[in-house]
Amino acid sequence: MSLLSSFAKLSLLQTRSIHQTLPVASSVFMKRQKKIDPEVAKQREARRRKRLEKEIRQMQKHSKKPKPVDELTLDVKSAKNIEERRRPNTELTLEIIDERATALKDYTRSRIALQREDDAWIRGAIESQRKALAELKKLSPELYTSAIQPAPNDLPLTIHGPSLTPPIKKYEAPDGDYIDTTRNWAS
Amino acid sequence: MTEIESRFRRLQMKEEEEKSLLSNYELKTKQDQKMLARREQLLREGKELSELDEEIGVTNRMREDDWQKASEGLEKKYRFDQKSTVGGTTVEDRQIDRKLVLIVKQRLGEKKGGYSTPWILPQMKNREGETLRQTAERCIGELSGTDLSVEISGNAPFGVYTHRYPSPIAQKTGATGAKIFFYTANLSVIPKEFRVNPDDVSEFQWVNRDEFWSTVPGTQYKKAARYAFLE
Repeated sequence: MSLLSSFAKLSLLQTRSIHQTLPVASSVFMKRQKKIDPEVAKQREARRRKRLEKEIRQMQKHSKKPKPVDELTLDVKSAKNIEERRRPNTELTLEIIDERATALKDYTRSRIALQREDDAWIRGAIESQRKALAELKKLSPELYTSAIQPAPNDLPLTIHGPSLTPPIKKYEAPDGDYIDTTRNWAS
Repeated sequence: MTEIESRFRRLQMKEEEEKSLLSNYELKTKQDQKMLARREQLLREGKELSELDEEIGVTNRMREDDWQKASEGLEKKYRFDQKSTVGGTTVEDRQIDRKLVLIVKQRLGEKKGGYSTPWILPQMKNREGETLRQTAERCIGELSGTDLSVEISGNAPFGVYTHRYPSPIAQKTGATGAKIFFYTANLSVIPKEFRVNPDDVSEFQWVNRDEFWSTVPGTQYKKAARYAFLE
């Protein structure tokens, strides 16, 4: 044994820098990679793609569903015992029939009166505005032209209220998150 | 709601109820009643109640009592029945179901504490090179003491009033009168607290249509401004 090789044994430096795992050292729980036939792999890929496409199609189909009209759809669960749900027939007396008829007539009359009032108000307001603009035109044509410009920023106008009850002072809102679960339908 | 409306509503609801089918809740109530009757019978006969064990649950009557209690608690806490106060001067306190308009006693002239007008809608003189709408916006901005979010509707005024000066003022200013153009502006957010600029306005109040006609002087003026009220 030469002197050089014994020095190499004494050296602190690792002589072998590549570390190789012995086959015995690998875990038994590791799954061994199977070699797949490229043909089979291609087939699997195609199948997966097909399935995804189908799912997407399904989702699109459902998303395009128009909003159902609740009044027209039959609630299957409740329809099962529909006979139990019928109310006993009510015998209407002549007075009640009369009362309903007069109430309906009164209501209709009141609606017509309301409509006439509204109509008069709108006509009056338009007339008043026309007069104002005519006066303005006489006074100053510049102000008139600026006044007849459309004001697109004013629309849409949203007005809240009036509410039935005044705002509650010192109202503490209950704790919790607001999660909107309203389903979106195709418009 | 008027009397006619509420009567019609009441009768309609009754008619609809007659035509409707029983709901799940009502079915449950029926079942509860049957169950209670059976229980009574069993008690009278002195039999065991064990055969009812499965059926006994929370009856609708018990639930209704709970709801009643909860609603009474809320009533007591918040006092919903409280009517809106009529006397208050703030916007949110006064008649929430009416359309209200701000009227002011505006100070005019150079020196502070000078002449103040009778009750009028807030007004301001149109400056050179300014559109009428801008004047209206400036008027709101200068007269209010707090930040307001206000929406003026449209560029065109909804009415006009010709004001003739009395002869001493006419001689002094050299003009025979003034034309007042009206704009509507809606408060988009009702402020917590409403104040006016004390330099420009000595008094203010929110009035409904009837109060407007009784407090503001000048029939022609009021007629010109009457479309500020939509009711």
